[in-house]
Amino acid sequence: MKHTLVKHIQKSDADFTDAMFEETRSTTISFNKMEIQNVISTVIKGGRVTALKNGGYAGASFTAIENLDSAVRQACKSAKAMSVFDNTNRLFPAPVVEDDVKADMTTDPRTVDFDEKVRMARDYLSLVLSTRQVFTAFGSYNETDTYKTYVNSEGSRITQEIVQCYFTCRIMSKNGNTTESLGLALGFDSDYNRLLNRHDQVEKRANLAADLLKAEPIKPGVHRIIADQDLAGVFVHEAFGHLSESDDTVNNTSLQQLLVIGKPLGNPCMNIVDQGDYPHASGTYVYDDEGVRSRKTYLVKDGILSGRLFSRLTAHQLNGSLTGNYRACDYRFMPLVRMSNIYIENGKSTFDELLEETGSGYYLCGGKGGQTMGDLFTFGAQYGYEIQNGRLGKMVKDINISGNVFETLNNIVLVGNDFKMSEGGGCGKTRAGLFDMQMLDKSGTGGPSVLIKSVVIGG
Amino acid sequence: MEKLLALASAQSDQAEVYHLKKISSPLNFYNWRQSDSLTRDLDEVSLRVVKNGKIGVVYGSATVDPKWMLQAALKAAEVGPEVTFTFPKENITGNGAKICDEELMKLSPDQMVHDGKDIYDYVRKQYPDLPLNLYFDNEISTVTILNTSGKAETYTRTMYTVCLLSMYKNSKEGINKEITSCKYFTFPEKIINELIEENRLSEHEVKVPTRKMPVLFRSSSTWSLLYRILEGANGAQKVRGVTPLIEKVDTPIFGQNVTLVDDPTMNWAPGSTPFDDEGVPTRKKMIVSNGVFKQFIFDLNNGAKDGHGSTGNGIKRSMWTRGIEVNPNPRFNNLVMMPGEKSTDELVKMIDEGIIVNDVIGFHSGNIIQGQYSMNVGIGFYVKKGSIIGRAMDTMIAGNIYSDFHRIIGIGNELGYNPIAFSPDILIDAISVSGTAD
Repeated sequence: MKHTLVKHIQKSDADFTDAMFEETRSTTISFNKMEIQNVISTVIKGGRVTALKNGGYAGASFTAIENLDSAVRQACKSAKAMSVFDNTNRLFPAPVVEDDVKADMTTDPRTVDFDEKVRMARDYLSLVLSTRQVFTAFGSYNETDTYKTYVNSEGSRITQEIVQCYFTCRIMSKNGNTTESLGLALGFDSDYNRLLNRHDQVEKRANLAADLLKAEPIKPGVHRIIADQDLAGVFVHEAFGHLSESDDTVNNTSLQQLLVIGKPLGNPCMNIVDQGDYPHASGTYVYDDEGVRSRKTYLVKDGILSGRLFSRLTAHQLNGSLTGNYRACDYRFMPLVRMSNIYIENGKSTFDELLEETGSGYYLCGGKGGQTMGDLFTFGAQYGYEIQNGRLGKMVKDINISGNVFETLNNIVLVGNDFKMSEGGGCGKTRAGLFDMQMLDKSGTGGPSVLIKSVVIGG
Repeated sequence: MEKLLALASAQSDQAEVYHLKKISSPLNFYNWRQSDSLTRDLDEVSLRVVKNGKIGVVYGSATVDPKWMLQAALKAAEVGPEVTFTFPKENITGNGAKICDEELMKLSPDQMVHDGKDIYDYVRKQYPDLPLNLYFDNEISTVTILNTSGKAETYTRTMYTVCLLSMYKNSKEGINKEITSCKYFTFPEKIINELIEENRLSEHEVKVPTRKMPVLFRSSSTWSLLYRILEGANGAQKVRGVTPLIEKVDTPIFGQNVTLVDDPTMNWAPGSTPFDDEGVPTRKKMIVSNGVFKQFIFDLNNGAKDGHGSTGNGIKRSMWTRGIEVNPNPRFNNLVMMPGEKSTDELVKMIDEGIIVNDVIGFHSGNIIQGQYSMNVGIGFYVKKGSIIGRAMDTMIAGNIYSDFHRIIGIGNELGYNPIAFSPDILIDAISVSGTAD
């Protein structure tokens, strides 16, 4: 494949041309209670060519490899046409890379028997369904492997294998007319072993789904809260991370001024990192979609805004650097600047210290959806507990938190020492309207528990 | 594709091939200066086989080896769920809706670049420093469905989208104006003017008190409410036993002024097709008639389980994705909320104290299937004595459509298309609004 791609991009008359081809195989086994509801296999093959010509930038994606030649011509032609409107595109210099990357795991999910996967899922489902008041559950096992080939006219030649498997389950509980639901997510990693022997966690989630029936709606108002690791991760992804994606910052002078490097953004205990080479997390990869190696980038260091995420195009435009974050959900889309694994670094406070410092407020757990609009964010928490006199109390539900990201970052006064990367992930991004939404499965979040001294909670 | 069906029919009891060829050319302009474009040429196929009463599905690129696809589908069918439906037989000549525009078939990307420049030129004259992204896409899809019941039908649909996204200061988001149609159009000046006017009104930011007040949902935001009825009337949720509408057919669920129709026969409407993604002919149907719930919508699978059959609503689409990889599930073709008689200005004048909601954030919050919502007002305005005071900041709205849709006091006279429905503006009385003013 490398050879074919190279041969064709050599015919390009653009100033820069790259080509990728990918083959993605995916299998999903979905369950309705204990029964298999569906087994869906997918094989998607296709590629994309992008070209820079006279400072114009464009791409062409194609299904059949026989159409590679016309895609190269189309990309060159479109890039030239776009240069009439915009001739400013240049690439930040990047190393020429030759590499072949294999997925890294102890147990390769592709070698595990189908029946064994069904047994694993049913084992967890039966545990969930045997929980009191749980009346139904919808489970899903997914495994996806992608084999990508990337070449560019500068000489980079890369193949990369990416494998991911996960088990998710929506647990539904019921009491009279009231129903509640809670999600469970395991894995999102290349290693099948991550899915095994997780009964304790599964049982805990099922019990939480039942407990939610008794939980009372949270009292709207402004409160002190402790966000657990999952919620802290969702917050930092949704509220802050998207602002770090530099493609939205280009030409937007007010946003550039708002996000000047060196600006204090929070207390000195805050460090926020994007790390594509974090070992075994859901947003982990070695090279992005323009052949740039993933790495660790401090977005906030000691409370100071210290970095953002770039593509080669935006690194040139904004005097940035290479961070390896230019990613498309598949060959059908142009890449966008996307987070890989974003997290708050571990702090020093124990959970008891967080509780004590909170005094009265809420301990909120798990993220639920989330959306931002500039510096405003809103998202739900899955469940929570009252905190009174530094002690956990009654369970609460129907929790929505919202606010201004910068105020909220400043309001993080203590960072816990119980860091955890979340299992699960997924992120949608579009640059205009809802029409061309790119859903990316491989996107990770994490963090320790954090104390936020003031958060607006809506019912 | 005939070869794939022939292969499959030899080894299964029933088979269906869904073939999608899609050419599209999304074109982005970022903030006056930067731009990129992509030309897509996709050729994708999905195969469903039924063997011994069980179904197996495989999706893939049309270039994937047909033998491999069949083996994967048969393997899936060995453990797949039991189904009782039969793939539909009758070929139909279509419901008559116009969905393929000759002009779009030959539209050049240069024309879209030209149209983009025109929009920028127009805005530059009136609001030169407005941060503004533009998005254009011209998509031509050809769908062919072949099955072992004898169906072999094709349609071609053009779909043209133009989206203007202005951004607020210190933000990468802001007011969004978006139109999708199967027919070519130039973006109406009236809506560009509205975008500019709303940006001017937004320059004054105001705090909103916490109390119950009338809320005018502009047609650009009503989808967040109507999404609840999409889930409630979804036949899959009926089969699962989780929708609150199970016992509600032929009983009032909303006020008498609410009528919702699913209409795949509208000319140039994005959801109009002669048959759904399982080959079942689509038809116009009443969902809510003067407040009375009339029927659920079904795909083949859930329709068979329910006993009433498919309503022609088996669609390969979910909230965020549309494409070969989505399994058919009950969705509206074109949900239409019937318009009323008031202009937007007249609706605003009816408000003594209230807010206008253009766009929400967090539409997925709350127990959706039960009709609940709890959303942040992303773009909204505070109104006093019938006049807009300024942009409503830090405001949340919450409620439940099954009670709120009894208190609709005004309905707009124009339909706007939003991601899931054609809808007018809706003015609802006494919505819980929480803000930050004392």
